[in-house]
Amino acid sequence: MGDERDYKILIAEDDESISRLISYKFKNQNLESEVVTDGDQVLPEIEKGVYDALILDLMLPVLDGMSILNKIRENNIEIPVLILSARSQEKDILKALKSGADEYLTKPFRPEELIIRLKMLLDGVD
Amino acid sequence: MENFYYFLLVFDYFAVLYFFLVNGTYIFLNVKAFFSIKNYWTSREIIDIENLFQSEFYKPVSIIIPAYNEELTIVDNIISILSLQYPELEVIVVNDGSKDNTIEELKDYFSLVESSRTYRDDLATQPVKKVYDSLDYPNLVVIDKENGGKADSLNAGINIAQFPLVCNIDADSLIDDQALQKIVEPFSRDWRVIAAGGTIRVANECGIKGGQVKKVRLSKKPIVRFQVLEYLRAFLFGRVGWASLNSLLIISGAFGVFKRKYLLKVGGYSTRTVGEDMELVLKLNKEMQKSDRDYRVLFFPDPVCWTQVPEEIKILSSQRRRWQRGLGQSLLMNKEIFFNKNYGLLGLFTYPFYFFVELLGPVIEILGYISIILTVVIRGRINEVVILFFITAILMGVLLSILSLFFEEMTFHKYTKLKDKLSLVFYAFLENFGYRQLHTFWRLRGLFDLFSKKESWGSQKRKKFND
Amino acid sequence: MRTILYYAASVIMFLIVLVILTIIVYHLKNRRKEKKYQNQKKKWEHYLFKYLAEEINVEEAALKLNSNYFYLYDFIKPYLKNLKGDDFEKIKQLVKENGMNKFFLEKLEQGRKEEKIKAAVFLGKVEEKKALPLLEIYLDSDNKDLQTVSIWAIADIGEQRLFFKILKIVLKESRFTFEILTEILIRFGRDICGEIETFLKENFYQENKLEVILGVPEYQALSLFFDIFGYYRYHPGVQLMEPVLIPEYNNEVLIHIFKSLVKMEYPVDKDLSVFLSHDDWVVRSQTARYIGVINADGYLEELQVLINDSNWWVRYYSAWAILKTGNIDVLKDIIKSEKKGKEMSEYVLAQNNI
Repeated sequence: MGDERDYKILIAEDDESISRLISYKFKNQNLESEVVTDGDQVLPEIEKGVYDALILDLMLPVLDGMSILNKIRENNIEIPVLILSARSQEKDILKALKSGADEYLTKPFRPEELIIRLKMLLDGVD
Repeated sequence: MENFYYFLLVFDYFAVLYFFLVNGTYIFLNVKAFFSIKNYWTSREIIDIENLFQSEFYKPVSIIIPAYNEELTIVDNIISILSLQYPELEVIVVNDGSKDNTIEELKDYFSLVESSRTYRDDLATQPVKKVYDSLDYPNLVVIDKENGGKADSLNAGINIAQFPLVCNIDADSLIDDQALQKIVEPFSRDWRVIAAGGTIRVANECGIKGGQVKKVRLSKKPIVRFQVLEYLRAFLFGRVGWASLNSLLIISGAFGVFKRKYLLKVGGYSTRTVGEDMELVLKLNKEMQKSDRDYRVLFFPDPVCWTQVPEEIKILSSQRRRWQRGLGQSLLMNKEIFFNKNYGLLGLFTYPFYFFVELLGPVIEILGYISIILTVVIRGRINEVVILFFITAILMGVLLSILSLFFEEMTFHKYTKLKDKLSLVFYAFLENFGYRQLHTFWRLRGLFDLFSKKESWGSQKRKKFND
Repeated sequence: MRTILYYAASVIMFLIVLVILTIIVYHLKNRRKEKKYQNQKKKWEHYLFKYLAEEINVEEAALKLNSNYFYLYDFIKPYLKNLKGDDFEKIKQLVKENGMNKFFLEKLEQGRKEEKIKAAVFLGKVEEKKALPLLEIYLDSDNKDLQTVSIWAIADIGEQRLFFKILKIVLKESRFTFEILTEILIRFGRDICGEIETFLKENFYQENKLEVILGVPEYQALSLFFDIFGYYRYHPGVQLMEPVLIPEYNNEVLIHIFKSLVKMEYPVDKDLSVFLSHDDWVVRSQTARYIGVINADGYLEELQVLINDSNWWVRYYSAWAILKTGNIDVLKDIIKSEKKGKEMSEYVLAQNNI
């Protein structure tokens, strides 16, 4: 995968230490990424149509992740969404998957696992 | 004439004594507050709040928002509260018979439908017209009821709340992102905690986005700056200090968390006073004293609620009159605490202090001014001692104000610019010439109102939070 | 009088000037510190990322991140919190190599109170076993903060040997509520379930023994243990629940048993009807919920009665259980024939998008 063209990923995560680390690791995998920290920035960014996947934290300031997810699905935006959240309760995971999330990873997480799951999602799209 | 002059002299001595007692207490509170804030800072390190609230062991919270004629802001504010970072909360909006389109706005935006919940009336309130659920937000409930005032609305909210912890937030206030977690956490750490209050800060001119204060700015308006100082003083050393003595008498109606069980026990908020928030805490103290259960009422400097303060003299003055009247009503409704040794420090010291200083202070202060004037008139010249006393009093006030500025600097430093800090120092001097006397006058009028009883919500002009 | 006032005014004036100066100094100091930290953070981040991507080795990284340990601690906190697996292990290695662990071990022993607390939190997070002897001593400290932080740190390190000691302390001495107690204890990890199982087998069936050992009423201890079993979905724990799963037993314990069983989704071989008619509405509602979760047959009649219960939650979970046990037609019938329980049936169906 990914060799023909670079993927661009949007990372919505309010802890900048973590989002920068993810970006750094992505770069080594030839994955381009942008970071937003506030929930209300996610939709306008996605609507630009340049992203191949979204990594979404559920606890975002201003607008929470679940609302963002619902809006994405309501507006029929076809973008793979990977939730990366500290909420590890089954009911939260089920709720997110039901609402149209494609993957759910709980924090603390392994960056390598994140990359593998993301690549699987991207391959699915192609 | 000589006799009268003699009387004035005695009064002066009394005033000096009073002054030293009051300010001695304030200094003492300051010192207590200093150590309390320091301890609080350390104890914050111990428990990793964020992690704690992501596990499944936390206390779910019911948030009650009373709303009266809030059509401009209600939807935005509820959205911001719904997106607070807290794992499990329900938001209960109580429309208190608004005359504007508050309920229509709510119905429209949140797709309200009639609720399947049965409304219990553990606490008596004005008739409830209807209870609504939201199709979009399963954790939102709206109660539409006949007008009955703020306390009445809060009681209706308490009735329907499902969770053991209840949090009240004013419809025009904004809560910091993690404030709810911070204020709830102590309820887990110590089972004795039955109520906790957070700090109120001034939101005017602050940069607000999505219901969150993103940039703290100091308003240029003097009337707001005076209030910024007042709020810092009241919360950073006043409430922190009293709470550290375990005798907090008030949790602000704008932001507080309570165990629902005890709210029911004391019959909820009283509708007979405009100071229902203070009356409640006094009542809780009485109830707990009776039940013999060990308990704590806490205050935290860090969980912050932002509120728009009045920018017009007229509105500010009526607010302060109302506060003073509420203070008087609450104290009088719970007068059995007065000098009652069963209540420990609370009965022997805190309550009397509130009574003589916070409530009757304006009378004494005004008498002080009058006596100075009379002395000058009678003697034809001003006494050097009087001038010195006057200066000392002002300096003391300034010292207390800038000490709370110092606490602010030491801990939270929300105002980042040195210019703003120094400007607040300047206002700490300035407020003694005019504003302070005006404030005393308003409080005095509130005291008069207390005896000429008038009841109302007290209207405050709402300003839409700038987005 | 004049002199007193004169002195008072002068002293106050002096204090005012002092406080103003302190504010200014504090402000400038904070700003400089913040600037310095931001610069350092950038540098640190650069090398940490390189290290985590295996572009530089641990010795090299340790050389770059080896000063201002208190700042370094703030810097490293989010990574410790959010990472696991290889990256987490790498950071653990790094803080061993760069002297940070040694520094905080010293602080834990000799620092000021605040420093001890910071040190304990950090050493717990990086699972530094060398901290255990000191932390164990602090368990007996009179200082509540220090005691509490030691409890958390030991739980984070997961030292099972100290589990029962801590259990006794938190039950007997602390004012922790149930939620936070459970939160602390589960940090020891899943293996703790086996320890609890052995402990209960040894002590439970003897009168009052639990209370004597742990210093709290039996029902409290059991509720706590069953919660932990539930959290870790520890099935062997169910056999310990069964003997007390009788309607006459303490309500609190029954509630915790059902909550646990719901989490485990584990069926027990018992007649549950007696709990559906229990006096305590929480027991009733949790039983109904459990029946729905394990899809148990044979309670339809009772559930149809409970859909008219006086309590909302009992009504709700009864309707929900009827739905989950595949009896959607029953709910539809109730709605059609306008029987009692119509509203709740409608609600549950709507909630499940039916």
